This record gives sequence, structure tokens and C-alpha cells, in this order.
Amino acid sequence: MNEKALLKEQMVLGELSPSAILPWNKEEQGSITQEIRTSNEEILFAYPPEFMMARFKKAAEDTVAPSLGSKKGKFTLLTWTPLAAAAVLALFFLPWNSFITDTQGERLKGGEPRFSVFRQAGAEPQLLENQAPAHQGDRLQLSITVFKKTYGALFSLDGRGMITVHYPAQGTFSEPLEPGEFILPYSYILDDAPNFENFFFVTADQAFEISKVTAQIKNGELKAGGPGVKVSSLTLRKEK
Amino acid sequence: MAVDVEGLYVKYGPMVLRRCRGLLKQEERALDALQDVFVQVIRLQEKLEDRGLSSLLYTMATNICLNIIRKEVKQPQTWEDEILQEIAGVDDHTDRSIARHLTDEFFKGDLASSRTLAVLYFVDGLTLEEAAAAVGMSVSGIRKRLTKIKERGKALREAVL
Repeated sequence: MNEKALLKEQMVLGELSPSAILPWNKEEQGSITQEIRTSNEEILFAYPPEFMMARFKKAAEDTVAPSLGSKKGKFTLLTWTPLAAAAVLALFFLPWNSFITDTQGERLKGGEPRFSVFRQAGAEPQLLENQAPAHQGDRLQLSITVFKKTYGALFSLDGRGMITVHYPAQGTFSEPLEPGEFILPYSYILDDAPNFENFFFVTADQAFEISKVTAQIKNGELKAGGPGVKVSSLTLRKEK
Repeated sequence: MAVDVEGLYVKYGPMVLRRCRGLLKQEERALDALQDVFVQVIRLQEKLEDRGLSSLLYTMATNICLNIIRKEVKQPQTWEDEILQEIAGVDDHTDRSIARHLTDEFFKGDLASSRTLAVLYFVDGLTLEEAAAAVGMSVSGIRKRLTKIKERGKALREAVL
């Protein structure tokens, strides 16, 4: 537990009681202030005010009184991820599976972790290459492939700076992946964000925090580093 | 006049989330608690005055987290978990730390949650004076409440008051 956390918060907010006696010297106070302000920025980036207010207001309308423990209206990492209105996740199950294996003609002989992006185009899915054009309303299906047991997470960043966590569906850490191909159980419909949709697949030998990766993506600092960390990416060009 | 809830979220939301993360140790549960805090703020917005609401929101968050812990009892992993579970398990019908921030006279004079006080003192390491300042009670009043709550659980009895 963060010792005397309330005092720290109130010190930074300028809301200390007149009788409060701080147990930290000036240098420690500066360090605490910096730490809290950095944390504030990270939290407000991950959970933007407009998005959170919409959630809070809806929850307030949905319930006469807060129903603790009820899953209705509760957060999962996919629901808090600030998906733009049109970027809905729709259930889209397994017919992709056999197609992917057959089309790529490669059956887990070994190699780097990778992911694939498919677009539903007519009856058959279309494998999208890096820099492929894409449009608002395109329905995309994602798959990830690893050749040894590893931890992974799949993200996308759109032209508005919105980051979506596609995998894992929930939790604050990357999920363990068994060797093989994994088709995400949801398809993804592109919204009207302009310019691009960048996908990032991060794997590592150890579990890692999702929020650290999203912060790196936001700051353009995502790179491989640490034990067994690998990053692969793919960009779709958004066309009108 | 109603407070600006979005402004309060920008100002205090990160503090509330840190508090919920610290007590609940899991991001989704912390987000649930954060939501519950601000749902309460929305409901109370006509009655709240923005005169420095850190104590109010911090204690609201603490109490909501204790409700969640109480509802989802698990095997405690640490001494701190054990203390929190014992505190969460205590019946407490005096959850009114919002009192001094409300303009409505109806709410004034109510008392801060004994459970919240117990977390501030036993878990957060605030002194009696600091806890008193946080919730707007007298030191002697807090000491009396904490003594009562301490009688309820083994881990609490072993803690120093």
C-alpha cells in the first residue's frame, strides 16, 4: 500500500488540511509530485474524460442505485478501450480458420510471431498486406500465430490516436499463447478515423503490462526490448 | 449550483483510480469502483460544492472498494489483505463522509464511515490527526470508532491503536 497516499494526493492537489504535517523533505515532495502528475497524465490518456463521462452517465441512467458486483454496465478492457462509435466489435466466428491455414500454406514450421489481417470481401476473406488501402466500414478479422509458448498482445492505433486492444479481450497483462494459430473471436469494423490504422503485435517471454505498451504506442516509442520481446506491425492506409 | 462532474473527473479521477487500484489490485475491478464513485457524484452533483473534494472522493472510493472486497471474499494473500477483509466485513451503516461537502443541511452532522476510517488508519498509515483532518472528525471521535471496529477481528486486534 502506498503509505500516506491521501496526504500525497492532497499535497499535489493543494488541498492539505491546515494542520497537516508532511513527513517528506522538499526533494521527496518534488519526486512525489512528479510521480503523481505523470500518473495523472497516463490515466487521463488511457481513460479520456469524454469517454469516461459517457460511461458514467449511462451507468447512472441504467441503475437506480449502484449495483456492486453486477456485471451489467461494468468495465472490461474492451469496453473501456475508447472505440469510436462506428468501430463496433461484432461476433464473427470460425469459418476463417481453415481458410487461413490453407491460404498461407504454412503449418507452424517455426519462425517469428506474426499476425494477419483479413478483410471480408464478398464470400472470401482477403489477406491484407502492409500499406494496403482500407476504408471506413471494412470488416477486418485478425489472427495471431506463434511457434512457441509466449505472451502476446495485439493493438491498433488509428489516425485519431485511439488505441484499441484487440487481444487479450480483458485483463491488464498480456496473455499466454500456445503454439499455433489463434483466430480472434471478434471481427473489427473500421471507423471513419483518417489516414491510417496501425496494428502492433507484441510478444515476450514474460507477461507484460498492457498499459505500458499502449503508452509506448501513444508516444511512438514502441520497440523490441527486454527478454524475448518482439514487435511486428502492419499499416493500413485509410482511403475515403 | 451543480458541480462540473467532468471537471471533477479530470481533477480527481486519477486519484480515485489509484486508490481503487491500490485496494482492489485489479484494473477492471478498480475501473468498476471508479465508475461507481462518479455515478454517485453525478447523483449528488446538485448538492456538492467544489471546495476541495479530495477527502470526499478518496473516502467514497475507499468505501466502495470495501464493499467490493466484502462481496468477493477471497483467501487473503498478505497481512494487508487480511486487514482489509476484516474491515470490509464489519457492518457499517454510517457511510456519510460526504457530509461536510454537501450544501444540503439534511446531510450535515452525519458521520464518516467507520470502515473507511479503519482503512485510513490501519492500512494507509495515517495518524489519528491526519485521519481526523481527512474526514472532518475529532481525534477522540475517531479513536472511539476505531477501538470499536478493532474488536471485531484478529488482525485488527493485533494492530496498534
